[in-house]
Amino acid sequence: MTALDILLTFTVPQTVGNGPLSMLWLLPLTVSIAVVYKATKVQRIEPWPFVKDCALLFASVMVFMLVAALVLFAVAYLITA
Amino acid sequence: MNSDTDSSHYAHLIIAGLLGWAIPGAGHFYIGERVRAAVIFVTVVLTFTVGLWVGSVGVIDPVHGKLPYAGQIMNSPAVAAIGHLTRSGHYPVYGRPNEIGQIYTSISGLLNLLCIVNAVYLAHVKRRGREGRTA
Repeated sequence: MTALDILLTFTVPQTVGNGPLSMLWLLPLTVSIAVVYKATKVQRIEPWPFVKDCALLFASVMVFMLVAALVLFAVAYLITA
Repeated sequence: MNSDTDSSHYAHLIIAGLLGWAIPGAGHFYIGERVRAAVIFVTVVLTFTVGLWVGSVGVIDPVHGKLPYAGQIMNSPAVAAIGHLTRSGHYPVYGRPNEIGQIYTSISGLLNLLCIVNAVYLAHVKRRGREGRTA
């Protein structure tokens, strides 16, 4: 694969389904947000504590998103039932 | 503090901010935060690249996607060059790839904005701290 081939993959969109599994694309983005946010917040970046902090923030965001999804689902269910 | 020191301080802050915008993490590198700079560079560039790969360069659309473009341009001025290329509408992208691509590229731009503000803040704090010690 040449550099041109690699560049050409950026001119055509990838195939992504519309199913619920496409929501999994949010996971790597959440990791990025956790890493950059922690990189700006910690006093000193040391490998193990930094990874631990990022994992904790990632887990917190995921739990909050799940709770928000459940609440929205319950509200939608109560309105439409 | 005299006006010469003041203007040199402001120039220092502006350079840190502009470098952080030109290349993600470069603002932190300039003020000596090399590990932080590397983490920011890898994460922001990777997020932006994944967004471009999923949705193609067409997700950067300064004509029909002004709001996402406002976030995307925070990645680097180089995004304006991609926007100039896609302005013609030769790289159409629709549906889920467009959404994912726009979300990734916009969020990476907003993350870089956070890093720019942080680099300017750290530059200010470090310079003031050094001046406080020498006074």
